[in-house]
Amino acid sequence: MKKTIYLLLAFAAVLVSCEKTEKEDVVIAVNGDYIGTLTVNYQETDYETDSVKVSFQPNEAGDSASITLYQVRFVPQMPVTIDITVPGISVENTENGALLSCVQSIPLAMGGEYPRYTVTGFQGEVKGEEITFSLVFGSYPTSYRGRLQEE
Amino acid sequence: MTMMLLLSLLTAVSPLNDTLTHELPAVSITVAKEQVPVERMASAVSAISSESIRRSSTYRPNSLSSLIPGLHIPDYGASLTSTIYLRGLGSRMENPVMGLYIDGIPVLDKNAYDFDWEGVQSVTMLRGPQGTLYGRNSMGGVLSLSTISPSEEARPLVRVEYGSANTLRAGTSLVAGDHAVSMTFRHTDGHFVNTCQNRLCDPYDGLAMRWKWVGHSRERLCLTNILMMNLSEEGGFAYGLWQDSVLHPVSYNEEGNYRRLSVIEGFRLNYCDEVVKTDALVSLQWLSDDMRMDQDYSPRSVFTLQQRQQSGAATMEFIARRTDADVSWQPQTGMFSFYRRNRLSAPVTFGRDGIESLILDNANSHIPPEVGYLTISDETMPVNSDFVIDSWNVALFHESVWDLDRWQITAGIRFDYEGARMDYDCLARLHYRFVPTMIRDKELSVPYQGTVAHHCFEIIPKLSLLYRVSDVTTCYSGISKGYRAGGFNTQIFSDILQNLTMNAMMRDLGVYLDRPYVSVSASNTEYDPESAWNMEVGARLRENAFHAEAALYCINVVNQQLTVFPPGMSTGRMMTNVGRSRSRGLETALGWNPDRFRSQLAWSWCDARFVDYNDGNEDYSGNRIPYVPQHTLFLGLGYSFKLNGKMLDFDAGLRGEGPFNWNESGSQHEPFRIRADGRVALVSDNWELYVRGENLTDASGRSFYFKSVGNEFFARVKPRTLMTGITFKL
Repeated sequence: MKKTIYLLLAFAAVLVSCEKTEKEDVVIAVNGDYIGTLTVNYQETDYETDSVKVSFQPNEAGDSASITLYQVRFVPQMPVTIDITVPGISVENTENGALLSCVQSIPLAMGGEYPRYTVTGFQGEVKGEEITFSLVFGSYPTSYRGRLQEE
Repeated sequence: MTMMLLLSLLTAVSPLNDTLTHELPAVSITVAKEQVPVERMASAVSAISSESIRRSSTYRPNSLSSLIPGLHIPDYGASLTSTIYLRGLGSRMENPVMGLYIDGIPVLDKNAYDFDWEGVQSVTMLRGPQGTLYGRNSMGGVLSLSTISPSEEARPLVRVEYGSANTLRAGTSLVAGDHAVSMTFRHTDGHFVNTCQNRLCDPYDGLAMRWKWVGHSRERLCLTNILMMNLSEEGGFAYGLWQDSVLHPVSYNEEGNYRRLSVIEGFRLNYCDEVVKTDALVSLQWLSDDMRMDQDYSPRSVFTLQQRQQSGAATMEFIARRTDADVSWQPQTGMFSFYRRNRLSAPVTFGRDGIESLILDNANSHIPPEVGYLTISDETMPVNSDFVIDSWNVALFHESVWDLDRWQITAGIRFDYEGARMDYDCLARLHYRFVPTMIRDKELSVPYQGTVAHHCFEIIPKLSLLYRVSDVTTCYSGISKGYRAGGFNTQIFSDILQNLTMNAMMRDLGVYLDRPYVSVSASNTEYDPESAWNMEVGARLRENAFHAEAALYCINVVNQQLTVFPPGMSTGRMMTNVGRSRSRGLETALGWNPDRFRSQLAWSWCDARFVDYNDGNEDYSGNRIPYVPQHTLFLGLGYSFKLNGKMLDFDAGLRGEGPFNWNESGSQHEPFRIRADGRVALVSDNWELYVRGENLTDASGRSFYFKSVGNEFFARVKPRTLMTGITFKL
């Protein structure tokens, strides 16, 4: 995966260099699976879960993406973990990476939309091999920092 | 050892009659493979003549229960549930502990063990492990039936009887030239009412036929062909719920029946020259059956089981013996093999109640209510399980008997290899929805396929010593080994699929339980052979009209096979090797038949306990092995009066069994119970008119116990039956 991304980055760089444009080189974020730490604030206490997998899936145009968090436990009392996808994230590709944002999104979980955990205030970025973002799942402030997973 | 076997084979010579013939008054009893008469056998033997069979109204194997000391074959369920316990050995499913031979042909499939017979001349039971000569599944003993032969001067016989529960039993047997034919039919309306369906649930219709042909193409060559067919269609499964110490009536809403066709074709070739006598036997066995069962045995639509089996097998045996019976060393060497293929289809169908209680309730109990809940829209949910099970066996055995004046030494050994392989192909399919996130149902298919196999090699030795105290008294001691084959638990696959389906459904939803549904996997469904070492001392006395025998034994069992019910709301049951057990006991049989008086006593005591058994939740070491009766008793008395040139026979019998523990902990148990039978017959030269009854006091009791989906069930003993009949000897 890492090699693929480097190749894509290089390809993108070649394409960009061939264009007669005034823009500086931009880095286009691509598909990637990340492993990192999820932090959920519950009753003013931060609960961290390590080794959480996150999948970043931009659309073909590269201006929108969805992020799937795998086996997430929002509060320690949860007897199950769930996969949850946040669709409709805006992506702005810059020379330093991709900026992610979303005002509000209804996540997908357990086979459909799950408004109970409506996402608000999504902010994040994909930079190099790292992804970081913060959001509020329902009433749970959540943040994530992960590194690109080696194949 | 190989050289010894080869030498034995080369030097083996035999008497013309390969089977043991033991002369009791007016009867001839044969036991396949044995080289010496019953009086000289260094193991416990029960021999029942055709006369005793007639007087005790024994017409199927489970009628022998208690008649043979220590033998317990409960009458419950349907014909495929021929559960056999002997000397503390046995289990309610899979391989039997008793080998069944009909005219020397081994019956491979336990589902064919329960059948009606006609024209049986003698029943002989070799008690205790007989693995050296008989191989697999003879660790409790061997039951040998000998049927009428063309060589015997048997008069054609026609029998009809009618009685309780609209029961009609008719049979005939005749010998004509080189042919002997027998046939029997039985119909009964049944004894137990299914209160849910308001009808009798255990009707029975069965037809059994046998044809035997014996041809002597040359003086030294004897050919025998035996064709047996059993066809039955019946209800069954008269199980009542045990709740709050009350046994409720039978009440289930789904179908419960069993159909079976069993065909066995055996061909035997005996050749004898001056030195060697050889006996070759080939058999082809076919069994096709179909069982449908409401497996929750309740008025609710929880789940049903259909089990269809198409089983074909071929056996081959070759034995060489010495012809000259007067020399002191009598060796026999043999080879046995079989191959069997069983196509088994066992779909379990969950009804609406089962989907709710066994699947949804279970799944939703793990999901917080505020998150949502699962629904399944299907009215029924099939879990299909198809199996192809191949098993094969090759064995080489040798036994030598040295007759040294008053002493007789018997030593033998068997090398037995068995392999088995099971291909399983299972599929569960359903439509589910998670509320509130999913707006429509989604189909989910869960396939489960694979192959498991196992092999085993057993060495089965035997050593015994017999001493002739006098012409009428012998005593003996011996050590022998037997084993019961391993196998695969097909009945647990519905549990496996049920758990896989719930996990797959959760995975499909993206929900992961902290404690996923755990079940055994296919690789865990194998169970190993069980083996037993038997040490025995006994004595036998036969003088004029009196005979007595007693045997004291101690059996140590390793890898004990036991049927267990997985904890919780599981739907399956499985055979597992639970550890070690031992049983010790005493068996006695007395008979005194002077002139027209008849008396018979058969009693056994058995103390069978686990030596080492911990199921992970509880340690049962020291507890009694369930289902094994501590005592079996048969007391028979009879007298024949002369009446105007005819005989008036009175026969009465008491059968007792118990006490039993129904489970490993002993929390469910059954006291010793007695059943009274009787028979009165007016006998002339050409006919016999009789009235007979079973369970004359209409004693109640429980004959079997099991658990299903956490509930406890019992089968009741059959109520009083009265029959009247007539037999014509043409």
